[in-house]
Amino acid sequence: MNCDWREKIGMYVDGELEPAAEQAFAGHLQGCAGCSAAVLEQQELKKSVRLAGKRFAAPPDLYANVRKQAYQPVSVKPWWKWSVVAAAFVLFAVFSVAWFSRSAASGSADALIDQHVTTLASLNPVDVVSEDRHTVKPWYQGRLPFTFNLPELAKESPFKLLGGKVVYTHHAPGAELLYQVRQHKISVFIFQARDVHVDPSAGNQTFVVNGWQQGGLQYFVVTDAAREDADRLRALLEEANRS
Amino acid sequence: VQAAIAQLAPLFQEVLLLADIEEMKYQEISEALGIPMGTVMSRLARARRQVRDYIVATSGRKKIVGIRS
Repeated sequence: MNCDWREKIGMYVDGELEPAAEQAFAGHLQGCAGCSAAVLEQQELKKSVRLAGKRFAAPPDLYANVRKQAYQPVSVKPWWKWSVVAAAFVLFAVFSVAWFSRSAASGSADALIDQHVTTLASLNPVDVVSEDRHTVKPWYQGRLPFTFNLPELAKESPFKLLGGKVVYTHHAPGAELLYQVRQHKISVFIFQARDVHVDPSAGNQTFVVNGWQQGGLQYFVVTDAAREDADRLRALLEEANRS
Repeated sequence: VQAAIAQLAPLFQEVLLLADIEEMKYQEISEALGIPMGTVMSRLARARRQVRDYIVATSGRKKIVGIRS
């Protein structure tokens, strides 16, 4: 595409052109198939990024950096006063975050263990009863604002899918999938990624909680089976959701 | 698309996320990051080009119109 307007496509799609220029560009699009196609592609790309971005876990320091730079003072006199204030603030922030993360992480692990036990105690532990992942996964359509893949289990696999249901933690919907390994049950919880992280080795003396983030989603495997079983099921799920 | 965003260098990732997800104007991004507006525009263009190229390379499509996230 060799067109003088080419450089303006990004600005047009972002609504950054002056009204007169935007009008002129719109007029140009009427007669330029190349620019029209490029604009359409950019608009689709922008839309896809916006949708994907809602599930994309941005690096935690990204927005912090932006805020820090946005509110950086222009002059810092006397410099040592600001340094002391900044150091105190950073120390406070670090301790606050560490304390909050720790309590949030342990709180999340306990909530998931409670949910797992509640499921096991229920007469109807799952709402969709099926060993077929092609039945269980579609059942979540329209029930959750995200989707995920379930691993295909070989016949000789020690794991068996029992079904799934919708659960809520921290006011957010998620999937709880129930698996069986030998005589033990395993709950797999899937939520949209949040800022709550569970220590990969969390749990208590009875239950194992294995959590990780992948593809903008947060996964937790909760079971009273051996930690190795939780690790193996996690590996299968990670493989199934690798893009 | 998520993988395409994830593989971007932080410099490009932040501009793209601020423009397309936070819906900030070029001027706002420029002030927030402390970089000239021209740099915002060039980084944004490069980020989008890289996302597009990544999607095309991994999906085998020639165009990205209608792609799912």
